[in-house]
Amino acid sequence: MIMDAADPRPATVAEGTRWARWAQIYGAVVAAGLAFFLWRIPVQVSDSLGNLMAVASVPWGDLLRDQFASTAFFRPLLLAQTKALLDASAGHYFVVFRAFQVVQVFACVWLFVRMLRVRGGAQLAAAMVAVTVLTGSHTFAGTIREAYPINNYMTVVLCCLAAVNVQMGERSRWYSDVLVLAALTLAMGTIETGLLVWGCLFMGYVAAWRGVSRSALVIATMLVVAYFALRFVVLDVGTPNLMERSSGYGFRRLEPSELDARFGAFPYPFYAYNIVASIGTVLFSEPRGGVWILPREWRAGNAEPWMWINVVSSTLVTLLVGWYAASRTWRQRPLNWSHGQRLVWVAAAVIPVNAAISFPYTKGQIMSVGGLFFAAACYAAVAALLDAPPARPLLRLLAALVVAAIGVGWSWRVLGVQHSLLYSAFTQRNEWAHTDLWIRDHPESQRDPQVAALVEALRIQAVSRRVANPHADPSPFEKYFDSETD
Amino acid sequence: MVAASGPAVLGLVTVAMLLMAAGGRHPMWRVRDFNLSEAAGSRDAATVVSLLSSGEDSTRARLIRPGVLDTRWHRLTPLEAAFESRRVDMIDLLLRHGVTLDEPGRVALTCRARARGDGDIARYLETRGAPVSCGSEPAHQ
Repeated sequence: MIMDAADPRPATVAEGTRWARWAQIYGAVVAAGLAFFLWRIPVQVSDSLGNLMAVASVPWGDLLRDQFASTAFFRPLLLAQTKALLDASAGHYFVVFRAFQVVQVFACVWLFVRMLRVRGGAQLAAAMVAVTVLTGSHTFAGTIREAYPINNYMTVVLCCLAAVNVQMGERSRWYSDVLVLAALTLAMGTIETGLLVWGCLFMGYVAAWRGVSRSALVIATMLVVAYFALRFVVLDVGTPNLMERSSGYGFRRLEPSELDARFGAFPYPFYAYNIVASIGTVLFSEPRGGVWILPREWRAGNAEPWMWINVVSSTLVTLLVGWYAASRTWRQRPLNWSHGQRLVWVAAAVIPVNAAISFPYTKGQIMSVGGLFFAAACYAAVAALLDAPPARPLLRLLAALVVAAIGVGWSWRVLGVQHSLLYSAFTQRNEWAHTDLWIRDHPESQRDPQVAALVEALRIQAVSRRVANPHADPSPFEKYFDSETD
Repeated sequence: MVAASGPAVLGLVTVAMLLMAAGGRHPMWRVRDFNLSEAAGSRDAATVVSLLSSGEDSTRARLIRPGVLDTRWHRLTPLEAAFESRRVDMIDLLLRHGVTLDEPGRVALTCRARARGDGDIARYLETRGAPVSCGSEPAHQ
């Protein structure tokens, strides 16, 4: 098997474990930095309260049955997770839901670092860079900034990570097959991008990862076929139409009525735009939510530094990964690919498939799985460059500058994510100040005493929290932190 | 290694911030206790509702420290602070939660909003009563 720096090197087990442990410690530190702010964000009103109300006093049987009867979206397990946590919370709503989210973040980073297989110093440095690419991305930020009250895109990210980690094992076992199939079922039942778990498994199998048996892959494929049959034939759920929500197009967001007027008769160019825009948002951090923000603001003379930081840092990673892919030997049996090549292979497949699934509309967090594997591909490229830098001094200097710029740029973006969480805490707490308006628009929330008590308890828990006010204490680095929420 | 310098600094900064947070001094998370007028002037709707619910006097003018509205000290009522911060949502919130605005006051604020170019505030205030004609009514203090 051809080795490169992203491979587990033939070293002592203890030494390899030591480097991996340091990588995990670093990942935990970065996750802790984010968790500090997450813990201070109240349960949000928009989307979240409606979901909580939908599950509060509904029996499990009715809940699952109703989910199978919905139109446009097929997410039968989405509300089930919310109800499970709500029932277990015993009134401690904030603690339970936020604790769940914090655990998700730590688990995500832990599984991501484990997937990288750090075994040496160069790999540790590359893993540290990759962790910043993972957690500094706007696609990741969206999965932790919003929770309904569970962020379903994070659920899919975790299922993909779990599946790939299992599949990277040396050989399959019956319980690892069961785990992977359970992850696939949970992900597909939660949200449409859950299908990516199958995509990861399939591409991983092609790349000669054998931790999941061929039988399990066949069963997984049958589950996906059953999903499509159930959704489009048996239940006839369909897909979201243009009137479901607004979406970015060109230099601004278009409202549903505008989308319908423009593309209602023939929506395929709009769908194609969404797919290309979703790929672009991962590789270049533009467009954002389908809107070309940097070109628009640059034309108006309002381009802020964070826009350039985002685009430059993402483009450098894309170029580096492109260099890595071009410099490897691919025309050989996948069994002979390096670990880094396998990561890049999966990334190259998952990113466009993720984009294709999000054809109805664009949103950063929909591409969270693509962003995850973009970070993994970055690891492979950086590790290879650090382990075997160019021989010529000028190229070696250029390579060092590129990697350093990537590390600095993405590390800054992680601080930007923390900053955005600060705003989320303030904004979402303030949403609870307008609960009277929400109740006016949802009078049904007051008919059930249990639901009314839930709403009031959440309101009190939110309003009584002390949060920082970013408007009263603006950061001197406001213009350098990403403030866009797509 | 140069490659990991950025991430390493991020890790150190994160640890430092978390240690400072343990002492209640996280550099990004600075919680301050605002009075009702300061909260109204700094978009802190939740604190406004919380203070009004606890019985704070909504008609009393309070000192607003520099940095909330601008670089100067002010002494304003919550409604005046919301008006100075140009937040129609905050004005609406205060009025929904029992803050009173008499007719001369409404007219005066509407005219000031128009003069200042705050069309959304002027339109909102006009919906709360008869059409306002500026220039004929005396200013309300």
